[in-house]
Amino acid sequence: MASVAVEQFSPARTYRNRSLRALYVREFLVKSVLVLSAIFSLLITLAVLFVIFSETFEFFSLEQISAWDFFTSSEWTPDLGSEVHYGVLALVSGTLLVSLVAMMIALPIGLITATYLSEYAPKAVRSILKPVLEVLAGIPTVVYGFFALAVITPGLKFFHEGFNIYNGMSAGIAVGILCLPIVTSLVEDALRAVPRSLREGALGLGATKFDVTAKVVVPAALSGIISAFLLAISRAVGETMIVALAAGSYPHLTVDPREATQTMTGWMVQMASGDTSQFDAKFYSMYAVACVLFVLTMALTMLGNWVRKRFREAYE
Amino acid sequence: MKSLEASVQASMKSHQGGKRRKWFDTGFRILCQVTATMSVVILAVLLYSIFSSGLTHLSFRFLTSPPHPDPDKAGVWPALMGTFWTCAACAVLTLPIGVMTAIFLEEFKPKQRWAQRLHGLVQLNISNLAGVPSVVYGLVGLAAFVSMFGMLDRKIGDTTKARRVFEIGAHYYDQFLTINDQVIFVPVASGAAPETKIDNGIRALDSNGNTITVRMLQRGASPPDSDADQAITVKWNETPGRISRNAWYYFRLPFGRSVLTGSLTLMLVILPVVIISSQEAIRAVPSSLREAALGMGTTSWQSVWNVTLPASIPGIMTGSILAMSRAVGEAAPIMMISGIVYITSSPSSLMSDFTVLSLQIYDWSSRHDARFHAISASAIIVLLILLLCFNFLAIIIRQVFSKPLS
Repeated sequence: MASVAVEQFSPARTYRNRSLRALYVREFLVKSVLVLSAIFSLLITLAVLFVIFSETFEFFSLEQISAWDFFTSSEWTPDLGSEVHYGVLALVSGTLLVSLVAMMIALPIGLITATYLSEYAPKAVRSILKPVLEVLAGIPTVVYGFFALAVITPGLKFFHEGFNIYNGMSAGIAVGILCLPIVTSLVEDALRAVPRSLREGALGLGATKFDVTAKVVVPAALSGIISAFLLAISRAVGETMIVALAAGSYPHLTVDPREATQTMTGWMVQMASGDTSQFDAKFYSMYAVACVLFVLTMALTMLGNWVRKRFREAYE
Repeated sequence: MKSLEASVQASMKSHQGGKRRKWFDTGFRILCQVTATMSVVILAVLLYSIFSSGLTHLSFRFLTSPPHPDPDKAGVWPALMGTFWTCAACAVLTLPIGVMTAIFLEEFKPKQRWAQRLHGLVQLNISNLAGVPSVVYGLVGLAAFVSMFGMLDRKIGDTTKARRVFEIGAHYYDQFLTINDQVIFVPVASGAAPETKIDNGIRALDSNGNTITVRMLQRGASPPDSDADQAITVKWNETPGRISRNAWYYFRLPFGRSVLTGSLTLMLVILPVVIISSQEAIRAVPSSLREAALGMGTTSWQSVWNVTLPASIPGIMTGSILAMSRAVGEAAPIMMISGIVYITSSPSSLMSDFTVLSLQIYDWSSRHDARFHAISASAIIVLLILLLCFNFLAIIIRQVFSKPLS
């Protein structure tokens, strides 16, 4: 008590407490620091853009590289001495193949699981299923890569002999499992945002639960569902460690999921795990591929965010 | 009459349709249940496959020994320590910036037109940054931190051995062998200093750290007899090897493939995650609290510091810990900046070369020798236990600190 009293009567202390100017100065300083930290995130974006595009420019200004060949050729043969081709389509096709398989796993299962969680599941089931999905979402991607190599590939070979040790199918399935919790949680959020009154209205008209789900709730949440799908595709396209482990390193234009293939991210990992000390065309090709990947994922993310904002049905 | 007949027919039709719809309903319910079980099955198979092949190699020795070409002798100690160092540094760098950005976005909604633009731009930017693949951040880290946009001459090649533009906390020595094969160290001024020439009277350190005065053995001269004399005598043509000893505060520019580079790169990856989760935590604080504080005449920062922040700390902590657990599991960006490296000691400073647990797992999984797959599974168990601890911590914080606010 005594110390408080002394403090209160100490003139300096009183002055400091009452000084509005000091308060304003502090307020201004704090705000500036906050603004600076917010600007920091803009700087990160600028750094990303600068690095990616300047190094890509460096790649295309090398004399053995032609932009036309890069975007139209489907041969990626940087080590083939006389026949060096940097045709990014070979890598893009690998990425598309893996993503396609992944989406064939993640989208239907994710959508149905989310529907179940949102519309059907009793509390007890929910309390098991939600943590399971959270655990699946928290498992590092390199672990899924190990899983693809150690379990999925032998499993596929058991059913069909034609599968290579490294194949697009196995990597795709693992990426699909990785995307499953993402799809589920985003779609479930979208479904839960549909107001109860819509469901009750449909049930009151004599609809079955399936009718309510398929004809009322899902269409009402469609923008959220599509945006979830787009974000999941973007995640699958950018997935790295799984494809580096399980998809192989044979870049070529293919639609056969049994063969070894290579994705854009797979090429970047292959370059990084080798000797990147030489600043040659192979090194810079990493950045050119990263540029294509960056543009692709950025477009998907922005499209997803735009769809969600633009087509959101507000019921309140 | 006709209308009655029609209505009866219609009702019969709808009755049949009703049956079909009931069937559909039951079928869909079963489909849902089966599909939802799949995720449980997947998790069970995943965990079973890892634990069944990994548990046998898991031991105290596995945790505390360095990697080894023989899988039976290999361990994860340097990788584990690398993970700790990187993630600790990453947390120290990321959390303040992330939380401050979240406070700016949630609590300081500006009134001026240009500031609103900035606000909207930052918000949009963060949601887009969250969608950039982590491997791209790894490449950015490679260009921006490892070589610092070519502050090093690009033609030099290996960045770890390349010229340092600036450094502090490093001591360089020229290493000589005496005539009875003892190692002595002659201090030199910098890494780029010319080689020391052996001469009588040079000051040096022996392997125990004692200062000694070197004697030179001339060409053709006979070596001294006593051990003590032999231990300080060096042949005239002995060639030195340059070594460095770095203090714990050793710092250099550019950063090279160091712990600091790794944590900065991971910061790029998880900063958007930290910002978004902190924003959600701050948004969850009821606005009545804020308004009460403002109504009592606080400035906006006083209300944030005394009311909003204390109330949202549990949420911020939980989100940040989950973001850190993502950083622990990230392998791709670290792969981009450091590649697969064979590291046998734990990091000693922020500038040490390092490897992380997830990269060690990748390294072992990608080998052809199946015995490495087993220890890879063991390392995965270590990683999963680490992540489990993180999540457990998050749950405890959520339980202990969260009070009902409204």
